[in-house]
Amino acid sequence: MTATGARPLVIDALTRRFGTVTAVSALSLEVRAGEIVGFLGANGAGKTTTLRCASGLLAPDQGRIEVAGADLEREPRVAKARLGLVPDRPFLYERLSAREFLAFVAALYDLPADAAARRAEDLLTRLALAEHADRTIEGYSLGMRQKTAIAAALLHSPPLLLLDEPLNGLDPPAARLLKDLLREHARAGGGVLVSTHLLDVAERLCDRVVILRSGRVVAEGTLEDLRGDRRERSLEDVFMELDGGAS
Amino acid sequence: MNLAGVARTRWIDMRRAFWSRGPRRGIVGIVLAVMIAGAFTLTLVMLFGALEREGATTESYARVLGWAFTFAFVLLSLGDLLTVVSAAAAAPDLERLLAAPIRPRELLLLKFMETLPRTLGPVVAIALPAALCFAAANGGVNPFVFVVALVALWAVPLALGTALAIPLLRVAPVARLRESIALLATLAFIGGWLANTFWMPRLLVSTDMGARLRAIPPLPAWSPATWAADALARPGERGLEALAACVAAVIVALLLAFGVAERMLARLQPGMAGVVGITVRGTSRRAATLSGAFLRRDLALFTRDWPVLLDLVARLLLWTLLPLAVLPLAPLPPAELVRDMLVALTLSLGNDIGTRTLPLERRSLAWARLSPVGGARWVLRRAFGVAGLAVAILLAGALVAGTALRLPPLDTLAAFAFALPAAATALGFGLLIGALLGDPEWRDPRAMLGPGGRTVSALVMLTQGGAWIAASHALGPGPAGPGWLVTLALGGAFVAWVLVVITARTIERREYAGR
Repeated sequence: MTATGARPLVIDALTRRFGTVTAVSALSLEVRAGEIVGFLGANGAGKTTTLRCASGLLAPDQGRIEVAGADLEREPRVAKARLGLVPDRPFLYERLSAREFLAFVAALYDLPADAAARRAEDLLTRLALAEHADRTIEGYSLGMRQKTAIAAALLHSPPLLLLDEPLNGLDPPAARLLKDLLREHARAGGGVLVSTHLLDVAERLCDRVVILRSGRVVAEGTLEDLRGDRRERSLEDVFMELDGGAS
Repeated sequence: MNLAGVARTRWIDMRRAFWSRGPRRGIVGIVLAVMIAGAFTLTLVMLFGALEREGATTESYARVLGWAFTFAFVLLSLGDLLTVVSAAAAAPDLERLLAAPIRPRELLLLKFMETLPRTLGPVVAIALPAALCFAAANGGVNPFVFVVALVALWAVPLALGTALAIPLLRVAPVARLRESIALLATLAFIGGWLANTFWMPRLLVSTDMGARLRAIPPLPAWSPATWAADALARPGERGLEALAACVAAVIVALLLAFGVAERMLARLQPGMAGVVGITVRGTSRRAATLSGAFLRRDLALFTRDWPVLLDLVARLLLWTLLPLAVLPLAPLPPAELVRDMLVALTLSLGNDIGTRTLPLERRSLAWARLSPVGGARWVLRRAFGVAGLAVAILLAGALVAGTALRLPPLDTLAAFAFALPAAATALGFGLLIGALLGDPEWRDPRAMLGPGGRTVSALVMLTQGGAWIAASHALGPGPAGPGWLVTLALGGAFVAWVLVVITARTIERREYAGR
């Protein structure tokens, strides 16, 4: 992992519109090194748009995004080399095998050949994908595709990991493994921003949560912060209260 | 089932799909069908006019009409099979419909309604103009026979396609099935193209048109296309027999389709196993240099997408052979003919390879924006890769054409040098059109561009091809001189560079929103 010393992600007053619809409005958040931040919100709250802006797939209308010390607009290549994204629908080449795909991704990130091959094998083995890794991706199940996308995002050990609903399609062992990988990543000094609808997962996995509603942050903090005085409340209770039961 | 309610919902869905992505998408399909119908009408007016001048017999009329109907029937059979496979298996609503309390034949009826706009295409574009031209040449036909003939041409392939598709879907993966049928459709189209391209110019310059028309091979006796043509063209008992055969064919085909649906449609789901993927061993797993990685990936994508590859090979061949078709009308000296053949080949390089280069990546083109490579470097790598492939194909084309036409090696080399800048501009236009009008969600490899994109691509390629053919003609019968070649090379390289830069900017600015 690149030791830049900077915070893995700083989003400052991000606004993004689609025509007349404002998907994200003046959103600010940060992910610190060693931290897993849960990104929660009802459907259409602006989670995916924020993650896509943070990964450079969408350009913000206003605001500033900094990835591990590099400004995404002014130094896009440096910033993009410092992040990994697991999108809601993985960007995979159907007619490549997982190994070939990871070799291609390694070349995109200019990784040394031998180290990249070792890292790819390690990830494939850990994600229980090694025995299928010579088969073309077109024959993969949803979970295997998701694992391939996770391996691609982790391949270059980026300081920032962005994940959009990463548990979709994963079986319980794979979901557990992903959570372990995320914790390892955070322990190694990386930052993780993960959007999920699974509140119990967020409750157990994340150090901090950010709750979004209609493109704005409505709450942010540790679970204890959000519970306030009522310690018996679960994250689900907090979320439903903040979201007005809309979801 | 509340048939009226379901039909109304389907109608709303179809109407919105027609207008989706702007009003152009649906209208372009109609415009294309009308254009094909216009071209076909023109050809048939000429043919029937020639028959009239020759004082041809009913037999000749029936034969021409029969072959037009047969061409439409073959296209309909393959197209309908493809449509039914897509509509029955790939449509996202099949699972819901299978789970709904409706009978298989009702489900089939819904699917028939849904596929109507697509399955009517060849009837409207080929069979209808043929029947109308025939009616005009013969001073009218019986309207009842006219309608029955066209209904038979529409219903029989659709029903037979359904009866065949449902059992096939239970044993073969959808994607592979669709690819195989698409390949058969390409081969059928090639057959029709070759027959038409080489036969029509020779027919037009023939001094004995009647003899050539009489030389058309007889029609297959047991074909609904033959029966439809006979019902329209032959008087008396034979016409009535053909009409009865048409009606019987429609009834039998529909009974067969509904019978198969009743027995097998409900059990279709378990047979819809997905593609298992192929195992690729022995490939290097090591990360390469960026350019090497792009080349390796492109090679894998092209060679493993065999319908795309075969489609490309077929198209490259057809375009290259195109100038030979006009030889009876305008004989060309060998040097100019080879130049023209290579220019025609460059049109295919642009239209078929250039335009597909970026859409081939589907949604994964997002890596151009997600990774630190960036859109500009991505497009440049792709442009260099495809240019390398184009040069190799062009060189092979030059060697084969030069050898076949006994052109001296230096003249062959000059023809190759002449075609290089044409290839560069064609690829530049192709890349840009692919970037602007490519469909990342394509299913059929021939439809990586939408109908609008294909129309724009064809027009651009034909325009620039015309300019290069004019330049070739201006050079005269001999090989191009070094001065000309250098000027053309510099001009071509400049235009291609500008186009690649615009493409790069287009890809750099492309955004990737969620679902």
